[in-house]
Amino acid sequence: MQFIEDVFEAIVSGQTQLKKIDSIDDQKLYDFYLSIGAKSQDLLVVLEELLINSQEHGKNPISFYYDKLMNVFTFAVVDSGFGIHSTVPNNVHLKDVRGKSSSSILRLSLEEGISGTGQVGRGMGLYYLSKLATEKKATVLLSSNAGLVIQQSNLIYEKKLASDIKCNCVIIQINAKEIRL
Amino acid sequence: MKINFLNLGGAFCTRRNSTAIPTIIAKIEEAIKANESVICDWNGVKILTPSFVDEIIPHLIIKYGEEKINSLVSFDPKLEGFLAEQILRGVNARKSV
Repeated sequence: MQFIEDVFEAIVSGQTQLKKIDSIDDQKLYDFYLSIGAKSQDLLVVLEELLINSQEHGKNPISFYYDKLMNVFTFAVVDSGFGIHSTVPNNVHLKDVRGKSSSSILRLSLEEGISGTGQVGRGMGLYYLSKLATEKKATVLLSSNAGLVIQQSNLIYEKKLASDIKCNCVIIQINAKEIRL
Repeated sequence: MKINFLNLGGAFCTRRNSTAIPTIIAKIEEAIKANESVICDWNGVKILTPSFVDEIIPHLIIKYGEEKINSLVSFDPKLEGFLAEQILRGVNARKSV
């Protein structure tokens, strides 16, 4: 298994060996999910919510990466929009986020109901991503701007990157048995 | 009454702004007002998301009460995991505003 940060660095530097599906959409995601034989509806739902986030807040092209190594699946959704770190502070229901780093804002976005829209019920994609990490013992990475957050089960780490990655990147690493394979 | 999500929303019932949602809500409300059972049939739907469910059921629970909705409205297949969880979350989020 590759460390999730190495997977991330390879993706943002354009050096990744992961398989890629360009211009991912609902049908392509569903076909891919069927092709790997996964039976976890929760993972499919999380991947779809991430895709919707990218379509609503990000910018095309949206790319989907995947691979399986030693019974561990890696999935990544990458878009080239401003995205997470810039939209979350627009949420009028949040307390003042001035002075918070991109990483802290990303961490906040994993909490229930936190989204850039500030509308009731929104902000569930990243919340369910975090819940997937906790319930399925997955590792997830979320990066935007110069911020990066990694959640392993229920442990969350923040990291400041040296420069703006100019995209939004979400990576999930999950054991095959957790998605009923 | 049976409401066919595939016919109304297509194979991907995923987005909050789906034009099928107002129609689905109207049909459920029609059944509730007549005190009839209603089955939300999503057989054949490839992906149903918490976002889509969240735009339908929590709103109805707040309007008509949990007991009435639970006794009259069901899903086929039954909602599980994050889909089922979103109903309670959606209700709580709206009550907390």
